[in-house]
Parts: sequence; structure tokens; C-alpha cells
Amino acid sequence: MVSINIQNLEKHYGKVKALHGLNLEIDDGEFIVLVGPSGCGKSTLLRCVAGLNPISGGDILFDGTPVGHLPPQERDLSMVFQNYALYPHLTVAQNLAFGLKVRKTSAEEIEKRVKWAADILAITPYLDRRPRALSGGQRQRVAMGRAMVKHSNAFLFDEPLSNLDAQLRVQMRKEIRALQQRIGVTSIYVTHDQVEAMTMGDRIVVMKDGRIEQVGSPAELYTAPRTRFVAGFIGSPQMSFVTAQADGHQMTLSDGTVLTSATAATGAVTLGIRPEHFLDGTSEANRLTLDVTTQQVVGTSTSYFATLGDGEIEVIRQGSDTERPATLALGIRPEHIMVFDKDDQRIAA
Amino acid sequence: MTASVQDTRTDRLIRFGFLAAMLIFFALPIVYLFSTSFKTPDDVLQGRLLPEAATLKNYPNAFAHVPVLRMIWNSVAVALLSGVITLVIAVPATYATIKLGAFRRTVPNITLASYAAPPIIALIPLFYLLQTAQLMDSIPGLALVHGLMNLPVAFWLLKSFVSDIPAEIDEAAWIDGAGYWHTLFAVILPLIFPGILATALICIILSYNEFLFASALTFSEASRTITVGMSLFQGERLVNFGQMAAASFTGMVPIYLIAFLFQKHLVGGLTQGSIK
Amino acid sequence: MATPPAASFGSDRGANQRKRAEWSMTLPLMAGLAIFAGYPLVYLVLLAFSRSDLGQQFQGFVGLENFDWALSGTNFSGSVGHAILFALIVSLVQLALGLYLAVILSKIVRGGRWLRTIVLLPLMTPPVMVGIAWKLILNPSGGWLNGILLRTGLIDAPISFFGNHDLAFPAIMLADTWQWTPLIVILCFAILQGVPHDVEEAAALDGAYPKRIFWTVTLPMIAPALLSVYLLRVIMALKTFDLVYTLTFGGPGNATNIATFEIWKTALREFDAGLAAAQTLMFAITVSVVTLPIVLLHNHLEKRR
Repeated sequence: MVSINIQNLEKHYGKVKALHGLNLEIDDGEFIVLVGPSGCGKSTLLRCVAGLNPISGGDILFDGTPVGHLPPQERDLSMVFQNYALYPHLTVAQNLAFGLKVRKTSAEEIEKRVKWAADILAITPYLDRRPRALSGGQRQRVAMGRAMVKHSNAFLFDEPLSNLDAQLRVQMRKEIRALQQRIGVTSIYVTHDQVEAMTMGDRIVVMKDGRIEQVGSPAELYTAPRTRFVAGFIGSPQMSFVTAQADGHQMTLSDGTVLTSATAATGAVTLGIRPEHFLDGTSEANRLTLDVTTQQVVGTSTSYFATLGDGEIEVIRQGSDTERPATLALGIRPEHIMVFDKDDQRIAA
Repeated sequence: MTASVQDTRTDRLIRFGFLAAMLIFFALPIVYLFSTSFKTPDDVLQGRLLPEAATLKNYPNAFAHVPVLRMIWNSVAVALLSGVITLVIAVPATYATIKLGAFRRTVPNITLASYAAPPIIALIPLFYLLQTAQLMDSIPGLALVHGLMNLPVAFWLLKSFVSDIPAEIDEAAWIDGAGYWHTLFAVILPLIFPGILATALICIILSYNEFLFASALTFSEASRTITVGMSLFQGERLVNFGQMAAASFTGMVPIYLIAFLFQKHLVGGLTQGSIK
Repeated sequence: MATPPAASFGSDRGANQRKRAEWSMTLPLMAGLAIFAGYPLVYLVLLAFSRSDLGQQFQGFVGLENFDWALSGTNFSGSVGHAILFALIVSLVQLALGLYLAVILSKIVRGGRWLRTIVLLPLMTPPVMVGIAWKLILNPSGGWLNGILLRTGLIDAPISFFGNHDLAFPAIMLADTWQWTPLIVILCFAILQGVPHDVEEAAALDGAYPKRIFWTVTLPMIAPALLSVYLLRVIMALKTFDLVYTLTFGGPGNATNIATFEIWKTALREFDAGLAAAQTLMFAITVSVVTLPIVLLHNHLEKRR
């Protein structure tokens, strides 16, 4: 297991730049999640680390040793693919053993490791089956096993859960994370699902248009997003945004409503408020009464949508409210109003 | 067709009639050839579908008259050897072009161009080439020509089988440490085996059936193929149709055996390769 | 993600390994095609401008003399016309028959195995044997067709199909259609299998009847694929040689003399390699000119989708 150091990494396809000089340090044993909308470059970055995509500039270091020039065969990595990419003509046991055989590992050692991985993953009963005869979840485990047996430098995950149904996905999230902690292997995990990112990563790398927007722990990204993009991407349901004119701590919305933020600014700004941060109207600061336009009951909680200034805001409340109220009386704490400047950078409080 | 699409009775009758007519059309020449091979010379002149007094003599007589079995053996040897040559060259090239993106525009274009060119173009130059290489009038010489001749066909047939394999399978093998040749042999070959079999069969049939090169590049009994032999049957002063039919039919047996045994692979190979 | 161009990684070890694998895998194919197509082309060009016979080549540079003679002094241009006419007609007839048969077969649920075998047999038959089989059927003495026509009293004397100036070409086309329609059936069947049912169902729900659905919905959808099949068949038909050799030897007169046969005669019967080379080059150019419009039409249809 290694630390991974990405330095000024560039990747272009012809004239199109896919990655614009990325820098990232990943500690030994860390679980890093790359997240972002499709086309943001997260998969490209992962494939560059894997050696599947040649890099156009910069370098990648494993424990300080440059590997950017090495073919995928010589990087000693494990990768779990979205469609699992199991060898269809080999049994589960042969699938696990393939990488070891290529490396001329002794037969006893191969057997030992295959047994070890199969035990942990509870796939021992299926060792003689072909991938075709397995369910999605079982295939997923075999793919994990293939990664585990090699004792490789790092694990790379390319959206490994997106082909599973919602229930299984939640379960596999936990399993993968538990396994990774047990083995202590450095991992890079690509997903477009921010919930997956928040629940799995030690640190999360939010990417957009081939650039890294922000790197941080899940809590950091949630409480202190650096940009409007990160603020909108992290958190579910999404943050609501309204434009305003700022004068110190006083924010005037287009409909004349004045909100007080803990952050001071001047001029045109965008305000961001998370749906879960709206309080009952009885609370102290920033009282509002809004007309409810629509409402969605999501089991344990209810979402209300209302117009505020020039934006539509979402308010989330515990409980399932089947009757739609005409208005909502709300309050917001000043420290829960995030302020973004005209370049969509968050202004620190 | 779906349940919502209904046809009238007349439509069905017309369709059935056409189908029956076409099937008779397809079967008739083979049936007639087969039945003629049991006809006496007098019987042949009657021009009836079935012989009046069937005879088995045409077969031994034809074999005595022309070395039919020897020529079939030559054809089979040429076909098998050429099939090996074609596959050994075409399989790695197809993998490299489709999966590694090697010359991914050049290779399809030149294979297509060389397929479109009439083979007569290559006849004279290859004639001299084989002469220089001392391979004229030999089984390896003709097998080499057929092997090269079938390269474009093999490439286009294999292409679709190879591209059906998800890129992640190769990538998983590379990350597992397998080199490109190793990946080809250990992962890709087993996966495209049906495609390789179909391609091999089609190339073998094309070689067995080939006439133009065979007629110009083989002439002695040691290498002359069955198609060349049968064409010579034609030139003779006194054509014995019964014997000719017997020899022809014997020459068709190896191919029909393949057709019966591997019809699924053949149809699959033809459709996979041509429809993109 | 497509394979990236590796141009900018000359010094890169990974890229080098990959390049080596790419070259070692494709080189034999390149070499094979160079021997089978590249070298013949160069050789032909040299032959075409020289006086050469089969035994002794390159007896001297003669400029365009061979081309001139091919066009003015031989049957070559007529044979090219025959070849093109033959290719375009048989391909069209076979496409129509094959498509209709494929439509019928796609409605049949059972018996696929036997139908498939019957359809495969003509396709597999060596063309020389196809010639022999059809000769047996169409022969004036002992031919099955003549036998039937005589017995039913439709004719008084046997017809020599291959000896008759007007009937010889259609007779060859008939044999060719017998051999190659099955290929079209197989290809069209696969094309029809690929048509998504939902479109046809939507049309049926809109009130269209099966025939109308076929002409207005299915056919336009599969038109580019059909054109590819037609192109493939035209290219193959332009190469036809064996049938003419076995059935008519180009006769009667020059009625069935097609380009490949004419070139073969020039080279291997008259031993004039230079003239044959000039004819071959001109025929190759003609083939490209004939197939080009079909390629363009195909590309046009493909784009419209």
C-alpha cells in the first residue's frame, strides 16, 4: 500500500483538455472519493492513475516514485469496474487467481489467498461457478475479491455500485468501506452519487470541468464549501439559492425581503440555504412567511417548495404531512445563510 | 412479428407459395445433380428428375477416370493450411486494431480496398511471385495465396466479435499484470472462440471453393484441387454426365458436411460480421 | 473512453510497450496485404506500360500502347459493360428475392433448422459445381428443363440455353441467383431481427396495416443496411469468373464475356501480360467508379437517420 501523489497532472485528447494540471496527495491507507457530474474528469483521473489513459503532462508518484510512464501492467494496482469486468470464461476461483498467475505466484500461495478472500467475502460456495451464474451482488464481491488477493499498491473503484439496486447498494457501501479499513489499502473511489461520497470517503475530491473544486472531509464540504458548485453538489436535498444585494450583514432580496447573515458582504451576491436549516417560525432571527407552491412527502420527512425572492426554495421537515399548508412560517439562523460572491466563491464569515 | 400485426389469408397464401417455390428452387439443382450421379448414359438423355434404373457404377468409374479423391484431399489440405495462415495473421491484427486502436483507420480501409479489388488483379503478379519462391504448383503455395486472399474477409468477420467484448475486460487483464499478447491469448481468444470458429469455417469454405487462383497456380496431380479438376472434366470430348455428377457430388461432400455440422456457427458468423 | 493517441509519449515506457504490441500484432496483416494487394498493384502498373508476355516480362517501355490497344483493338470495353450490367442486375434481383424471403422467414417460428440448412447449401456449393449442376439442368441433351418442356409439348426441339445468344446471359444470372440469394436472405434476416418492435407497434396502434408498416416504417429504417448488402453483393458480382468459365466460356461469340474472363483469356490464353495488366487496371478503376455512387448514397441515407 502506498501514498499517491498527483502532481500537475494534465490530460488532453487532441485539443480538448480533460484534466487541467491537478494536484492531489493521498495518504497511505486513505479512502478518497472522486465525485462530480458526468464529464468532470473523475473517471479520466482514475484511469490515468491506473495507467489505462496515458498522461499528457505532470506525473503520478507512488510513495515518491514516479509511475506516470509505466504501463498498467507494471503499476501493481487493483481495479473494480462498473460492470465488474469479470473474465466470463473463467470460474470465480480462476478469476481471483488470474492476476496472481500472471505474476507467477506459487500455487499454494494462490490457493491460500483465494481462500482468504473468498472467506471474507462469503463467496466460497461459488468458487467453481462462472460469473454468468452469479447475481449482481455476488459478482460485485468477486470483483472485490479479485482486487484483494493481489495485495496491490492501491484499489481503484470506477462507480462499482451503479449497476446494483438501491437496497444492495447501501449494503455494499458499508461492506466495501469495512473491507477497506480491515485491509488498510489506499483507495480511490469514483462516483457521481454525492450520498455515496459522503458516506464512504475519508476525504472527498469534488471535481468540475477537469479541475478540482475542493478537497476535504465530508463534514468540511458540508459546512464550509468553497464554491457555490460544491455547496449545491454536496447535501441532499440540494441547497436553495437566491440572489440578493448585500450591505454588510443585511441582504436584500428582489422582493424586498431583508435577511441577516453572519457573513458580511457588499454588492450583488447569491445566498445559499440548506433545506434542513429552515426552522419553525417561532425562532429568533430572520422570520419569514412563505406561500407553499408544492409539497412532496418522502416518508419520514416532507419537502415544501416556496418562492423566495427570485428563487425557489426547498424546506424539509420531519414527519409526513399529507395536507398542504397554504403558508409556512419559517426562521433561519444568520450563520446558516451562506453568501457567494459574483464569481460563485463563498465569502467566509 | 407482434400480435398486433395481423395479415389476411391471401397474404399468408402468397407468402407460403413463394417460400415453397424458393425452397424447391434452392434444392432442385443439388437434388438433380445427386440423382444424375446414379443415371446410366441412356437415362441421362431422358432428362427426368429420377433415374429409371439407378446405377452405382458412376462413382467407381469417375474415380478411375479422374483422381477425384486425391484432388479432394489437395483441396482440403490447401483449405486447412490457408485457414491457419489467415487466422494466425488476422486474429492478432483484429485485436490490435479494435482494442488497442492500432492503425484503426488504416487497417479497415486497406482491407476493404483489397477486398473490393477483383482478384484477377493479383493473378499475374502472384504467378511470378510463386515462381520465384519455388512454390508454384504446390499445396503450400496455393494455401499461402488463399490465406492472404481471405485476410480482409477474416478481419471483417472477427472485427464484430472482438468489438463485442467490453473494453473493461482487457483493461482488467492489463491491470492484473497481463501483457497485450498474454491478454489476447488468455482472455480474448477464449471469449471470441465462436467467432474464430465461424471465421475459420468461412475461410476454409472460400478456399475450398476457389477456382481462379487454383486453376492458374496448380496443374500437376500432386497439387491440383477439386474445383480445377471438375472444370477440366468439362473440356473433354465425350462428357459422361453421370460420372461428372458423381465426381462433383463427391467434391461437394466435405463442404456440405461442414454446412450440416456447423450451420449455426456459419449463419452466426455471416450475420455478425456483415451487419454492424 | 476511446484509445488515446499515443503520439506525445515517445519516451514513455508504457506507451512504448503498447506500440510494440500494436506493431507486432498488425505487421503480419500489413505484410500479407502488401503481398496480396500492394505488390500486385505496383507490378501491374509496371506491366501495363511495358511489352510483356507471360514468359518474359518487361521487354520494353511502350507508354500507353497497351491501354490504347485494350480499348480499340479488343473486346475489353464490351466485357466491362457486360460485367457491370451483370453485377447491377443480379444484385438487384437477389436483393429483392432475398429480402422478401427474409421477411417471410422472420414470420415463421418453427422449422428454422431445416430452412437454414436448405438456404445454406447453395451458398456453400463451390461455384464450379454450381456451374455443373445448372449445366445438367439446362443442357439441351438430357437437361431436366428441356426434358420437361419437350414432354409437355411446349417446345419441339431442345433449347441450347448456353448456346443461344439471348439466353446465355440470363442462364448465367439464374445460376448466380441460385448461389447468392441465400446470402442475402441470411443478411436481410439479421437486419430485420435488428428492427425494434416498438416502432412497428406504434405504427400498428396508429392504425397502419402490416404492408403499409413495412413500406413506410420498416423499409426506410433498414434502407442503409440494405444498401450495404447491395454494395457487398455488387462488389462480389463484379469478381464473378467461375460461372462464366464453366457454363459458357464467354460464348456464344462474346455474349457472356465479362471483364474478369476477358482479362484471364488475355493473360493465360494469349499470354499478353502487358495488355492484361492494362485491362486489369482499367477494370479496377471502373469497379471503384461503379461502387462509388452506392457508397455515397449509403452515407447519405446513414446521415439522414
